[in-house]
Amino acid sequence: MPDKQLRGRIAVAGVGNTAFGKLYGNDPYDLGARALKEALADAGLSRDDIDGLLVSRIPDYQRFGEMMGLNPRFAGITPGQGRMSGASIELAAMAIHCGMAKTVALVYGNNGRTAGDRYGGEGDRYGSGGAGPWFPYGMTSPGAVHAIMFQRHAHLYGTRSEQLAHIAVAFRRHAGLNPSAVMRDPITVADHQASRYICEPLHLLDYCLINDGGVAIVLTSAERARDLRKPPVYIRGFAQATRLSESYVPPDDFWRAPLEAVAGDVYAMAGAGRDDMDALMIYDNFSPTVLFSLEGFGFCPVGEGGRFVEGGRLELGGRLPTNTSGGHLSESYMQGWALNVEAVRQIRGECGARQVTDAGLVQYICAAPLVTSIIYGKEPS
Amino acid sequence: MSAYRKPLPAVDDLNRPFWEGVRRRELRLLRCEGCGGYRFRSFRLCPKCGGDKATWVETSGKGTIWSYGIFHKAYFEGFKDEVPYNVVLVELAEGPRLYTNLVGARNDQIRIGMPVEAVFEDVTPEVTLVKFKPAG
Amino acid sequence: MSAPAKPLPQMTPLERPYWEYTRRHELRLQKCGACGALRFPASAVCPECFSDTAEWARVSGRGRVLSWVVFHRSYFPAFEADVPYNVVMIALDEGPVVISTIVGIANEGIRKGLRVEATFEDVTPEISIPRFRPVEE
Repeated sequence: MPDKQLRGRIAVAGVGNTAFGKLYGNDPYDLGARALKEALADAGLSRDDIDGLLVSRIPDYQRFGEMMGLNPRFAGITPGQGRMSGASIELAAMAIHCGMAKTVALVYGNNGRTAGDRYGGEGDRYGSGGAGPWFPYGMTSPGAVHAIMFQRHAHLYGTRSEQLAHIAVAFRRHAGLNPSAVMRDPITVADHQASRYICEPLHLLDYCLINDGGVAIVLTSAERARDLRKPPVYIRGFAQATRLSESYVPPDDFWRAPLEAVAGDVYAMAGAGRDDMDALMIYDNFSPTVLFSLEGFGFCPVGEGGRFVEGGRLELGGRLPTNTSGGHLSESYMQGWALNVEAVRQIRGECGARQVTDAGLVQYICAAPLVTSIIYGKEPS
Repeated sequence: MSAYRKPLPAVDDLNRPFWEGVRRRELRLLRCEGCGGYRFRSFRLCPKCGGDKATWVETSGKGTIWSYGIFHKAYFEGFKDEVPYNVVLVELAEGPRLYTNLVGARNDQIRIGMPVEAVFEDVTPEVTLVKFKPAG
Repeated sequence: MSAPAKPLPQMTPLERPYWEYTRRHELRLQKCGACGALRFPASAVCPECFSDTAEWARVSGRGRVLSWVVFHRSYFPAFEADVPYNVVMIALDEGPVVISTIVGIANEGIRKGLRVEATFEDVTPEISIPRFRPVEE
């Protein structure tokens, strides 16, 4: 488990993002550059204050650094997978804690929409994680993997597609309150059920949106953050676990083992429990992932995820507001980065119509072969 | 005769024995000489015990459906005419799982837990694929 | 039998204007709208001040050789016939450093500080590649 002494020692000083959507004429470097500019302005920092750089989905950290005139003391790149947003933030926190860097810029740029990324098929570069051997059978796409997982969950526990619809409806409602969201028109359960199948049993409205956009986060020590433009958003806890063995097929337990391991560690490090969370940001590449995350973290018993998300529990005003930006299903698929930024904005009270009242603790969760969770707090402990 | 337009298996030195077995209508798996565990992926070391000796052995070809999905979208040109088509995840009697297609049944007949057995389909003069059909 | 084609420039949206100008036999670089710095290669923001307002400003095309190498092996089949061929770093009068080749002089004649100016080779109907040739001071 990460050292509890880290609790509240690292803080988010600035966040920034571009618009999301079809952004012709922008490559990932452009999008990342614009987002970083926003984040620096947000933090009240200049380029010369940055001495650490981590990029993701931007192909080359060296080219990005050159473009931005950066010569960091700590630099790197993580694979362009969504699970890496949380993992990158964790790496940056570790770098700051051990003194490799004082202030780390994390930068993400994704031009998948205009570049025609489909997350499936022969040209797939992202997400399919070694699915090549199955192409002869027409098997591809992480969406299909999650469809197959949900089919099994339904078989074991009676979970229904209509229950997934409640997740999509909730996040779409939130997106309606978010000026940056791409899909803002409200949807109903009936709309979700009527939307065409992609890989049955998942419908179109169970799949995340593919869009262009850039997101940047500036991380620094709590002490340094207290001197900057905005109130610090403290990282209260973080943890990681994986299920890599036999990960060419879905895990029997819907990633429950790594989810439980991360839950134990992140709450212990944060000094808070799941009932103390004012809002959740759950990586929603596909709606079933939200169910697996809630069950794995113990928000509801195993197999009860379908029932748990009914009745507006995940909606603003409900017991557990989740993905208040609209998430990947309705804001945009920024591979977890925008969800972490939304967590920060909730803590700061900057979310306007979609603000969770008195948001003091907000938790980010990503369920995947590599599981991460980060708890953000208004107070350091 | 129309050309076969679906993706063909990417055969390499590690998985060649599997595909040669399929050509001979055999479902071969690697069996670890250390722990006896079967595996489908041709890793050089056994993921269970780390052992570096394994043998390709012919297996029963029997299994059950662990789960499945129905593709309503074609990600590959060659599958355009087959939509909606099934992909099933079969758990072999020996343990390992693999993605494949179920033949000899309609998509709406597929059930998790259904017993299945391997069938071999020559898709080109050189290439055979292993698929599954309802058992018995 | 024709030789294999030499690699053409990667036409990203960011770099397209550069090549549209070279096709008109003009050497232009991005000039920051906020601080006036010229930059190369093309980027979305100014590395000096991060402003994203820039125009493509024409430069004189004149400069001096900073350094050079001569390739005695080719890494591209299409360059095999050119071996030994030179690649040079040119410091343009306006500041930025570009990489190109020198024409109109034997490789042995290249020296540091050699005064050069841009000349354009039309390699396809769409693409003209800037090269440099020696000129008087």
